[in-house]
Amino acid sequence: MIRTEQLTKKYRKVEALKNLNLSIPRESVFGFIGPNGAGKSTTMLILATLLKPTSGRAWIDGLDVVKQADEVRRIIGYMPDFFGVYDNLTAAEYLSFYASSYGIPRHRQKAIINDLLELVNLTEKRDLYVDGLSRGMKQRLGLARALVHDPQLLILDEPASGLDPRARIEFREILKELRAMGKTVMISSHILPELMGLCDAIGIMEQGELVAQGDVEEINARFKGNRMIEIHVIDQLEKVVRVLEGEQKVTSIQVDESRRLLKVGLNGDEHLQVSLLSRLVAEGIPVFRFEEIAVDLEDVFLKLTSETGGESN
Amino acid sequence: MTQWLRFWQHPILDKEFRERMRKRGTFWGITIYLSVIGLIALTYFFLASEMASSVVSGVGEYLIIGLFVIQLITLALVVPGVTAGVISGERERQTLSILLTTPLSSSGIVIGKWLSSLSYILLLVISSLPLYAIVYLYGGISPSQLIKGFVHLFVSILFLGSLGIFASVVFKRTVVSTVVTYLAVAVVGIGSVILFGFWEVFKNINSIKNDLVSEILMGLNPLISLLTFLIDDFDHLSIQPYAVYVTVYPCLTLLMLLLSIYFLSPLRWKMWSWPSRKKA
Repeated sequence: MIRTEQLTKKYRKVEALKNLNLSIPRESVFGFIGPNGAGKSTTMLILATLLKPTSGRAWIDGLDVVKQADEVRRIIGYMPDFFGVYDNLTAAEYLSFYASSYGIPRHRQKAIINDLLELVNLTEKRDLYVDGLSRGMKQRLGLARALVHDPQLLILDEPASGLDPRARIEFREILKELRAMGKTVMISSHILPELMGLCDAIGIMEQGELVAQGDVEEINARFKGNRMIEIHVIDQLEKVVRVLEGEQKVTSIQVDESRRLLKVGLNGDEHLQVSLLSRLVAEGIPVFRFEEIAVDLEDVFLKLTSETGGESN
Repeated sequence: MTQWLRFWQHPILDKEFRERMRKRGTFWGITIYLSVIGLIALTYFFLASEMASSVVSGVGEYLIIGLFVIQLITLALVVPGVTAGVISGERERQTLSILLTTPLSSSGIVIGKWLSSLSYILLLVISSLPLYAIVYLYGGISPSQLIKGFVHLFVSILFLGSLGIFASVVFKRTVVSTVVTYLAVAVVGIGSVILFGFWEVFKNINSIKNDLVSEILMGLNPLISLLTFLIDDFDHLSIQPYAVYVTVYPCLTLLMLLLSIYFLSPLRWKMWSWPSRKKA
């Protein structure tokens, strides 16, 4: 559905996007993750035909986003990270305006608007001025607006930013419904748990570069070798550190002195854990807890972004 | 007829009309506009009638000139305020990017915004028509002069509106756009007079006899071009400043609108790309 080839965007000397090669299949939910300023919004702006790339190309459903911008606009629904609404229009009028903009005849608009308001749970608010809606409701109305012309692809730039937990859950449920409807969704966020369980695939951006792309499971598996162990000791914290520093496969050590707790990164399997624990016990270190902690998407992200940051520095 | 109706159902026009007529400021705007222009005009009528009755009989001519001048100056102050924020306002409200991802073209957005703003201005002018009716009772002005006066006002409104829209597209903030528009209006109003003065001095120093440039410069000034067809003293001119005005300013209006459309388009580089690049 989406394909980019060496997509690059420069703002004078700053390279916001560097040779992005992206491929998102039809009817999938793609999570675009990265810290602020990583290049997510720039990519989305280019795909939404709002920004011209400096070099490289991008296609949506085989249509070039620069050369065939008019056709692209008809098949995408774009929701920016921050957007305003027309306060002097009612929710139904707001959707009707955009429906007219997409050339939907007036006699068809009523049914479409009713369906959309029902989808985003705003049926009761249809005749209320947009001004009177809460932020979460406005966000849902914005999503309904992006769906008014039944687009094949939804580009949602940080759609849950600024929403309270309840509104986030509601929004997430709507996105699940959209996935069930067979829409292709590209959604960005810098909050990882927001995308977990929702996305089929993710792309991790850092400093304008795509540092990883693939299925959520696949990316997790790639980093499965990087295990994280929590070691709780009664005392001799310094000795533990000394022992661990002597181990080649220990990739990182974080020490919490007050709790006498160590978080240790290990590049190895269960056998390595067994030998490490045996070594600590043999050294006479009083270990009272030795446990592997789950490496989730967030850890993967932190690992990837710190690696990239390290390279660039 | 159907096409005409469809044109007025353009989404931008429809939305703008709806939004504008729901704002309290719209009605206050009409009230204040009519109060100010009515107060100034009626005071002027009173003074002109008092003074003219003892000197000349053609008081109607003075009154209509005064009314047109007052209306022109008032519109020069009102139109930038109405139009200079229409696009930058969308940008500030963060609604412009969404609008630009719809199939609505940049030209549709610019023309729709321009026409909806002008419709409000026309509403102001139409609502002031009773004042002209009062003046018309005094006589001294022909129907053709009256029509010419309204054509002049109409051309001025179109131009001022396009100027405001252009600034609104180019400048991101409404405050900046409004200030720049007022400065541009000042340049058009005062700058052309200064230029005319410089030219006259230059002409006298170099003993140039040709008056063509002077007449064109007179035609570029909204106020002078308005006065030249209302006052008979300018009949000897080879080029009528009024003709210059109603020819040049619609062209400038068109230019402003085309530039606005160009600058609003997010992928505007396409317009300047050579055919060979397009093929590539």
